[in-house]
Amino acid sequence: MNWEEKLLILVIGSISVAMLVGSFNYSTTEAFMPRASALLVVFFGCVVIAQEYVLTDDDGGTSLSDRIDRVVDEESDDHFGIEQSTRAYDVPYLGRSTSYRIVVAALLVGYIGAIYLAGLFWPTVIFLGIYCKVMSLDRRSVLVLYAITLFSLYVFGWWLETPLFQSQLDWLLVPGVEQ
Amino acid sequence: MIAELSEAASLVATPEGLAFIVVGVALGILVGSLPGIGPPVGIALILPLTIALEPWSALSLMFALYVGAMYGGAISAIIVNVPGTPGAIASTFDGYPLAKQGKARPALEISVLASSFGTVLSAVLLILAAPVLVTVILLFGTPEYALIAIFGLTIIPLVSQGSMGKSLMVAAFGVLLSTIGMAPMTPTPRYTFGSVQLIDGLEFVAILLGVFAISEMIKLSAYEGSISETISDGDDRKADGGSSAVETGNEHDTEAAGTEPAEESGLLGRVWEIYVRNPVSFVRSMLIGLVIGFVPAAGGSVSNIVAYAAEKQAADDPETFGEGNVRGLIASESANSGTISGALVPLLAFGIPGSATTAIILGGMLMHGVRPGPGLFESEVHVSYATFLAVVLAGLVLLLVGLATVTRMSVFTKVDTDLIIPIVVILCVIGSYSLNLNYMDLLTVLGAGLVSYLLLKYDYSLVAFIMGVILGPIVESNVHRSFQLGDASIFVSSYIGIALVALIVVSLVGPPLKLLHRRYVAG
Repeated sequence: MNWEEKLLILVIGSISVAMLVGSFNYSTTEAFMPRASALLVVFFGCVVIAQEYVLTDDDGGTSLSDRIDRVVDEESDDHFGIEQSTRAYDVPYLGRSTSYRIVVAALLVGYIGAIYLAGLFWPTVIFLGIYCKVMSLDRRSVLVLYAITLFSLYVFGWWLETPLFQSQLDWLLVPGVEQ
Repeated sequence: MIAELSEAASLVATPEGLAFIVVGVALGILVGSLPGIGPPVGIALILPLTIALEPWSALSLMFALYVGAMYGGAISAIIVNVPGTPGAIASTFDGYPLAKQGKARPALEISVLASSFGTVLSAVLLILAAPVLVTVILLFGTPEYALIAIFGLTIIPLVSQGSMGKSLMVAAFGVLLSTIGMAPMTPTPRYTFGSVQLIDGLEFVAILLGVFAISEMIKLSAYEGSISETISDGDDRKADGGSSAVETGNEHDTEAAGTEPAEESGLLGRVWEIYVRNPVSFVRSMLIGLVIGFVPAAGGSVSNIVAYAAEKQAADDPETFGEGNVRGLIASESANSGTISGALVPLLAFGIPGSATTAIILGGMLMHGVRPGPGLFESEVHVSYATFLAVVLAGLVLLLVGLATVTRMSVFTKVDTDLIIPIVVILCVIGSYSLNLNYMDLLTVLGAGLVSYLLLKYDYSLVAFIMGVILGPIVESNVHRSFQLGDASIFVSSYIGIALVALIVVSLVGPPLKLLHRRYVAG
């Protein structure tokens, strides 16, 4: 079990324990389901950890899916099961490389954070710009992506009447733009 | 029945509805043929855009997209040996060998025919069986309803990926998150921290977008070029061999096992030959897919493999399976398409989805005011008929669109993932915000996406998680209602209740006991 999986179990476990403690603020009827499910999360979390460190699963699992996977492995040696990273991103100025998955996840966090500050439109345009730069996309691809993105923004803003420039704060509004 | 069917037709078979079915099938073929996208992501992305549509136009679009994507998965499976959807895994076994023999075009035509057959016949069967189904469905009262939802959660580890402990942990976590917001039996907000943005709980569509789309995009970002290129790079068999054969219609002399039609006959002749020569394969696999569709969380990913194995077992020439036997391809495609209608039955009757895609369709149905429940097979049976009718029409449109585009679809399998990722991410973000103009939905997309990526990476079942989110409120409200009707014995007061309790116990205790037994036998 590596640090990412430990982090995952820690996050899920912490949320569950916090909600379990929080359930004591509610009546028995209201608290039953959160309490039962939180206890089950903690219990099965312990089972997962125990399986990892104490038990050895030497038969490869008992589920139908496991059995099917074995059939797939027998029948086809390259079924859709991509798990290994195939390229790394060199972070500018730091002289270090990292996974593109981390870069995209970080961009996503920044993108959604920026929407809080500046609404949908400009963060979307900037997110796409940074993404194209990070992925080193050629000019034609960049133009195609901008065309699709601006069209999507237009469709959502016009057809579905989504306020594209309205931030969650009341600052950074674009003067003269109807919200 | 005729009156209800005609009412259903008035909902679906309108010019607008038919237009959306054509659009849905075409979009479905596109998203299905892109490995890594698939029907869940495709429908999740289209969901926010349907807000402005009439309910049945929107639902027809979603059903048609589902039908198209099931076939679309076979395109990349046949041409580049990479299944576009998990439901097309078995299509690679014989589809790709056929393509390598220069028979990619007939293989794609067979896939279209099998997909269309499986889709149409299974939906017609369910339309005819609806009067029988309703008598079964009405046997389910509140306690049985609660039990079948619990069974839906406990059976997940048996049919989905990952270990039992991992699946049950994330399923329970999904149930826990579903308790955020107003409690079902009392007007008390839970875990909202005084925020009105959380009063209605976490937005289901936002969770779906995060779980199925964002996590997949983060996963795909590690790969350069198209997924099919990435997968095929390590393969000594050249992917281009298949696609060029499709584009040119080039035929080699290599004899493949099975009974594929001669290229010299016209399209109608080939279609007729395929159906006439393999009727049992079509029907058997469709029925397997239909029945597996009823099982919560199983879906096309299970049915195509089971049907393939059954076809191989029943064949006189099992040794030719895996070398380009058309019956293997028919089995896979007919089964995964037959699963579509099967998975819609528990969805319509109990609000319990039979697959990840139907979980998203459930979100769409709720968004458009169609609330699943036993009533959809009783007082509002026209809604069920309309659903299956939309599937039938989509299956027929698939036949036309699929056969018309069979030589042109290979191009989609080679789209660069670097171009797909920003489009999907931006559509997810704008789409989820458009639903309620609630910033909390964006945080939900982000949180669900990041956590789901890690779940995906470490073999925790995303289907188990989403089933927990869906089934949690069903379990909670029905358990409370059951206790208002009586004590705990009410859950075993009927034969169905006893059977369901037994199934729950077996699904929980069976796998660990089996494991212990194996270890004991192995010493």
